[in-house]
Amino acid sequence: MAIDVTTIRIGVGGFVGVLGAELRRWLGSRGLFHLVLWVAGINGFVYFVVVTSNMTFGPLGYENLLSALMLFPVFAGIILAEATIVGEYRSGIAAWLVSKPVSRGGYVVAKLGGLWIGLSVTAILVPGLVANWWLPKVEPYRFVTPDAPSLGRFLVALGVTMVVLGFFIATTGFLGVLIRRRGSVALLAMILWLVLRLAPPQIRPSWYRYLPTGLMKADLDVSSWIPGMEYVSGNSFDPTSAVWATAALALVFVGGAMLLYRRLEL
Amino acid sequence: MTVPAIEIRQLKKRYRKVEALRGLDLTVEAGSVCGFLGPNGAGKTTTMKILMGLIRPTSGWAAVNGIDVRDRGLLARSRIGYLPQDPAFPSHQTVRGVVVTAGRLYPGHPHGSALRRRADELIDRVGMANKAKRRMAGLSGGERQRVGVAQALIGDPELVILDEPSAGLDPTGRRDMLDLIDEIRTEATVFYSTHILNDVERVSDTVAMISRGTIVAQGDIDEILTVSDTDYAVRLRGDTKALLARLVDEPWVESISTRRHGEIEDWVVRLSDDSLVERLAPALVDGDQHDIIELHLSDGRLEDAYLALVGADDGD
Repeated sequence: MAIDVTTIRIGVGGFVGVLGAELRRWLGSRGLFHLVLWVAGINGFVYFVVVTSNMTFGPLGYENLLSALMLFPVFAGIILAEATIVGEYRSGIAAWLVSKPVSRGGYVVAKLGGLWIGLSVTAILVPGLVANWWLPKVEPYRFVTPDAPSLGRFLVALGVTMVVLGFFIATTGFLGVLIRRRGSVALLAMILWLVLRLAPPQIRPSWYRYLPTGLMKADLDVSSWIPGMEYVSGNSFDPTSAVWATAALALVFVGGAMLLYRRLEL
Repeated sequence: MTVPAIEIRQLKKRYRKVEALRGLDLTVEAGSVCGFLGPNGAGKTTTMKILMGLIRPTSGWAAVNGIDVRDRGLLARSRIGYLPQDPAFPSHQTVRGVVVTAGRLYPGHPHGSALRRRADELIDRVGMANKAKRRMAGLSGGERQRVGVAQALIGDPELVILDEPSAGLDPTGRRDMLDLIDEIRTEATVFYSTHILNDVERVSDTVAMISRGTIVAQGDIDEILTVSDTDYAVRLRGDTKALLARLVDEPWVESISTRRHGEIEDWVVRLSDDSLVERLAPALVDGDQHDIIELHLSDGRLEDAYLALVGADDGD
């Protein structure tokens, strides 16, 4: 394929067009629906756990908040990524879009990227910030440290959750292009989530910590389930290598999806 | 010399064991309206999808306005407007939303209110102005087809490819669609597929007939309709199998194309010499399982030409 300045300009224009259409959806009724759903759902869940629990130890509220953000939005991301990639392939909407001056790679990145941005903001960032506002105020105050965590550390923990979300959206996108069958794609991605989240440390090889597991599940010798929680609590847990590895794996899956999509017959 | 709007050379496409295109050659001149005529399964949609980069040819070459559709697909597609056979658009979007979204995908498109104005113009042109704010999910097949034409025109394309644009439309919708194609000819080359002969006769300058993955005839409509003095149109009723078997073995019969409509069977019989009609008439009368309704020199109708060239390939 010949690549020159004109082709790149057209390709970038098409990519921006598809991404813009995706983001406009998130700025409209779809975004509002998700915002209401996730702010109410995540905060309601955490409030229920915090207020009804009699446990007096540990940073229970934030622990549950981060656990919920690592579970529900990620599963939603898996389902929506499958609906986007497989659904649009099957319905013919993908064919409509790539019959325009839109590269197939640009289509895949714009669709998955738009979903990641939309879900990160509506299902992780905003619900997380709302919880961060009220959590330290509820009685009985259950946060283990005398002060609320620093906003910076809390935002980093949310960022780590977004990286995990991005990894699963990318993985589902890759599986969607590979298998192109609704149901089985989401099921496989969810099984992967369970394996990475629940694999017992006794059977995990040492390199396992560089996978998303390093961000989703701490080893048993640390006090919290969620590595990001250690960071929120002010401890010196360093998930840096797992963050980079997970982000790199997400990019690999997106790249794989782009390559496979180029060969698809639409 | 003007660069052809479409140029295809030795295009082949194989789906596992099925050979959809078998070395297709086609030229569509810029500024023309070309009807791409053929029975179902002949390879019309496959050809169009290859031009749009939606499927890859097994071998061969295709170009749009001189631009190779494989090597420079993005550039080629930036100059084409395309209506797929079963157009699918996001169901949550409104009619105007679909046309504006399509417009944003073209390089150098107008922005903001200018784009919306252009979209509204096209929506009005396809007769959907009163439904511009309706969601796609609530539209009929014919209405989706009209929106499909509007979104195909939003990028001000040099070439418009329409795959069965009048399929599934009621008579009024079909007439409107043909009028629209007639209008588009002033702005762009139109290449559209159909299996409806009347549509082609009404709006096309040129026609390309495809059968079993190859072009069997292409050129100006007038050329295709040139009366051959060796082609005879025959209309029969009843069981014609024995008669057909007997006639195809005659050395003075070059070919026989058949098409059945219920009880009636239409043939175009090509003789090796025009004087041999004297043998044809008695040969047709021979036998008691069929009746002859008509026998005349083929009068140059597209239907006869189509029948002679494509024959009984219908429904392949």
